[in-house]
Amino acid sequence: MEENKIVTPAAPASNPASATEPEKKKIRKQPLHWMLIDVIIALAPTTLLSYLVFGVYAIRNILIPVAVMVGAELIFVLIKNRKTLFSKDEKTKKSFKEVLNLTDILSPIISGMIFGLMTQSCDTNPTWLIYFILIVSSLFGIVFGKLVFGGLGRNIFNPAAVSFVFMLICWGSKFTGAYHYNAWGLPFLPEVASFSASATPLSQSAMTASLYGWENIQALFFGNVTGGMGESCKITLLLGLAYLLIRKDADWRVVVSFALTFLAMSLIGGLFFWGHDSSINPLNYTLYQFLSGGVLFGMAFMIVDPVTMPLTSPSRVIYGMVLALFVVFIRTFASAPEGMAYAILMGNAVGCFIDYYKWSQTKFTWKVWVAIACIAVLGLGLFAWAMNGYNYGTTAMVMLGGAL
Amino acid sequence: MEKKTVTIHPCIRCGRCIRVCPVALNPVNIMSTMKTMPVDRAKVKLLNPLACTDCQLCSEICPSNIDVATIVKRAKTIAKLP
Repeated sequence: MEENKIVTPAAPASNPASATEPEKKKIRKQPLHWMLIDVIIALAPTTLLSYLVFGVYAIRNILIPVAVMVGAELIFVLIKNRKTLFSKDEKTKKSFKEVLNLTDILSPIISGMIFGLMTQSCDTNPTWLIYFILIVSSLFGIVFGKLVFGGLGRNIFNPAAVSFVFMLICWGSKFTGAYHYNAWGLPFLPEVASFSASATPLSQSAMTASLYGWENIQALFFGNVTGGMGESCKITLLLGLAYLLIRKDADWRVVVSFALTFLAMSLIGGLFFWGHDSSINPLNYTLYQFLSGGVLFGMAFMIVDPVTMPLTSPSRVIYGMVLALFVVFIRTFASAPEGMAYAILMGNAVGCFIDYYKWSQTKFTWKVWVAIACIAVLGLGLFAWAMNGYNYGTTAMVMLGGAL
Repeated sequence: MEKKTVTIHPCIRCGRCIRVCPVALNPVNIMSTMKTMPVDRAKVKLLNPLACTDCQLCSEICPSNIDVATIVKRAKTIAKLP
């Protein structure tokens, strides 16, 4: 049993080769539960804004996954510690409170909040179906995305992304009801931007030049667009990301490499669209791609999950690049306008491969720089080649069931 | 001697022990290799735990309170075997 309480001497054993006291004092040790609380604090502005904008629908979509995931985790703790809990020997027997850690509760709360914020506030047909969808998707995500691997620290895939993709595949076409924007009727909230009448602004034709106007980009930034609840206002997402970076809970390497690769690839895409229709501004296209959908939400809260990303700093840079490649390829060429959740799951699967001990490096050696350069050249080259053969005459961003 | 209770959590693969290591070891990989039964000695040798200076910074920084340095020390013993 790994999660146990042990009694250790307070003073470290003296060792002639050990680090000096000033060196140890420089290290800012952050307990695990504080790392998890930091993520909840970072998610708080987005959650609060969702509550203000979407009202009770936000509470419904966030509280149900949180309750289901925490419940599943508690049952898992019960099953995992069954021998200790139901031991006949009074000396080894422990109560549920003794075996339960704070992290067992905080971790599923984060997964539930992230999944809830990824969902839309619109109704389903029939109306009661949304409760069923949220419960089953949350349960599937936490069980098959985390608990079957052994719980916290052992999961390969992000549980929230598993829940979201499961929901998208099974019931993506059921979200056809009214979109509850400004549920409280607050007077200071702007109207939903007219360009985003569909489920997500990304399900529009990529060749519509009017889509990339400055007003639309402002609407995407301030959040008066349709789409996932947490993905709407980018200010709160950036605040959350900044907090995680300052507290060093999120690794800046993966964030920077993801953002730079995504922007570079979107700019290349924009240049190709500009080549076919000069009224499309490539810079506006890049900003539109960066601010729309779940890119910023995923970048702030999902790709920085330490459990599902590679270990070493060079591997993390490569991981961020690979994720950005997946997102842009899925968005541009696949039938799903939203590629972030799929890309995260694919990136999680590739992460183990990047981190293989025979070629994973702990420092940025010349081999690492060569690998990074190769991935950048290959990825961007492949994307440019694919864009060259792109069918610009048709509606590129097709609208299929997965438009969430 | 003054005693305190420490709760050990599972490794969340945050990679802080790797970044703090002065000799650029990968203590997480060493730990996961040491957990396998039987221990893959060839893999342990490849991860080069003999370079460890026993500075214990990895144990100091670990948010899960894992005594990483002791596990690396065990890996050193295994790596020394012929």
